[in-house]
Amino acid sequence: MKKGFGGLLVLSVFLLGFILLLTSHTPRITYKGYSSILSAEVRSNRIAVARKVILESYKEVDERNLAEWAVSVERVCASYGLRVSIDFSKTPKKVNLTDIYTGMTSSFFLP
Amino acid sequence: MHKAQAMLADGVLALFIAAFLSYSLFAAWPQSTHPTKNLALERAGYDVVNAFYKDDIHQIIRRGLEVKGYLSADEIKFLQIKLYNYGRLLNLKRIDVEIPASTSFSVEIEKSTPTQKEQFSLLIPLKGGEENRIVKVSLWK
Repeated sequence: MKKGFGGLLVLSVFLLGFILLLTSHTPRITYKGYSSILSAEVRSNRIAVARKVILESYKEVDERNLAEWAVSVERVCASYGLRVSIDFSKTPKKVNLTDIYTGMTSSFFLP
Repeated sequence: MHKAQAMLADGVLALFIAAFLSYSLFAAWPQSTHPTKNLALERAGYDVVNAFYKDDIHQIIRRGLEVKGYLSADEIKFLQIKLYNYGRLLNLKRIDVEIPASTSFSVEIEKSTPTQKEQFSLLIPLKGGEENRIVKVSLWK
């Protein structure tokens, strides 16, 4: 029983040490910082792509088919991890894109 | 007494393991929302989507689908040549295009095995938006 207890204690110390190592000010912090920047860059690019798709596809849609188009836009945006809201009541029509992971937003008017 | 000590140690160990697993799983959570984080692929994605709209690629798909309901072999060949040029320009290895209710096609730019893939969706309205096709373009590097 004592042996088992000792073993568990040693294992606990190792685990604690490992956790401390991971959270300490080591190159990992730099890596994590870089990784976050990279992620933000990727998310930002996805917003730019979605914006492009919305603006370009809107040019070919008749007013009477805007509802169907908006549903498809929602599906495209969801595939990019974005939430879209389109305000058709305003002139010009306003689009708001929100990244569901980072909360980044982008607003623009439809031409 | 020994049993109590062992149980206590078990509890402590369980806590450490839980903390360790939580850290491993969630500490990098915001970064792991995206599979590759390959910025070159991301930029290429934007450029390819832009090319679809600006370089007549989507017009060819739209016309083919509106008139015949599918893309002919010639149209696919033409699109493959266009995408091959973009693929070469953007240093891609392969491009896959999936068009719902139509023929999907691929373009191989390099023979070597691709390792990283990103998928981009774009919208092609047909008949003034009566029908909308969500085209999926996968880029491989």
